[in-house]
Amino acid sequence: MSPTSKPWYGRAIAQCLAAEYMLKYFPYEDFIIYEIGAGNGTLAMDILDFLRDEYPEVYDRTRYNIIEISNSLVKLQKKKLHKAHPCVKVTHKSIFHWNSREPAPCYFVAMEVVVSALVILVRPDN
Amino acid sequence: MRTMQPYQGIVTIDAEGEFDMVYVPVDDPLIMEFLDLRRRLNHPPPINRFLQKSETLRRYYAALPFAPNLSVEEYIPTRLLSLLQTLRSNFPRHRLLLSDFSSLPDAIPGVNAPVVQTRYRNTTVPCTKLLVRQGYFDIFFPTNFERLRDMYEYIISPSSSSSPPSVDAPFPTRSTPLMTNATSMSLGSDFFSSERPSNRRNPRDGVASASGLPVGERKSSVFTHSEFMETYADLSKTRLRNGENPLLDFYKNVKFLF
Repeated sequence: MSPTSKPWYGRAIAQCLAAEYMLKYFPYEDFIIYEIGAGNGTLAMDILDFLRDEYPEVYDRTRYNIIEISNSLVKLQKKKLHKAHPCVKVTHKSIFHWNSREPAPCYFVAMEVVVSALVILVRPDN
Repeated sequence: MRTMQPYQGIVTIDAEGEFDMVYVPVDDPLIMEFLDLRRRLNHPPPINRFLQKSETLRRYYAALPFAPNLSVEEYIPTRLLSLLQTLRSNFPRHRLLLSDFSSLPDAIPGVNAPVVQTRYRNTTVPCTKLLVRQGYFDIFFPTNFERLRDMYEYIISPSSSSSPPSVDAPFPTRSTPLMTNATSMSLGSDFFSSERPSNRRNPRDGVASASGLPVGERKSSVFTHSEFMETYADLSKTRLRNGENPLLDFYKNVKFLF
């Protein structure tokens, strides 16, 4: 049902973000990405593989940050990504408790997070 | 229904573990904020527009036998609202790429209502009610992207007062070799031009757009899955021999905000 685990999906996302980054910021700023709802890290892996293979200069400037609330997923993501892509940083925290400020231009990726996590309160209207 | 007062639902669990829903007048601050934002964006509540306008009509409607005293239940993305506020305050120069399901099959009754489903012998079984035993069911919510876009652009616009700009220190607080606009915006970015393009945000002091001009960042737009993929994917790799392309034909209920 979900497209997020397919490699072509990650490549399209990477193409979109890299195009925007190259147009606006390369080479003066780092390519900073934040992802929430990263699951088992497949999308991050596909994005970074694509950048490494297609845009090595952009890949050198990439800093990929995952904000993850689940402890077991943090472990999984680190295990999966750290070796292949040292530019990945996984932070075990809820985005709703995020208290540091990112002053640099960055890209915030949220794939299929609304569907399962962001609507928790229920009520009739009027 | 007669008063147009919004009520919020609260899930209760009794001693036997049975669930029920009680409706009380809205007192949750996030819900109140959401409703307030919605009024400002002119997003109407899911009530017949004649009934919305006329109190007399509502009184007649409420007097009908079997007429519900509450309108159809609606599910609102309050957490999404707080995510957008976090983006505004902690990631002031972010660009958001968000994708999700714009509609879902087999949803339970209600506006913006979720699908509640469970697995039984490896097949997915949709349920008809919301209150189900915790841990055994998945609950998935659809996203109204057009409303999300309006809400997002409103919240992150510099003039928005929906979240206090307490941490918005004067921009920029870091040095960058990128060209920024040296002149203050106090003159108004439309100083040299009488028109402001509607697809751009208001420019912020010290932040230039991609072109280097102080014209403001491009506003976010909603794309369908196939529109997004036509722009960014390598379609030749997924085209089948019969000419079809599953990348474009699948996921018709997925949209992007970028």
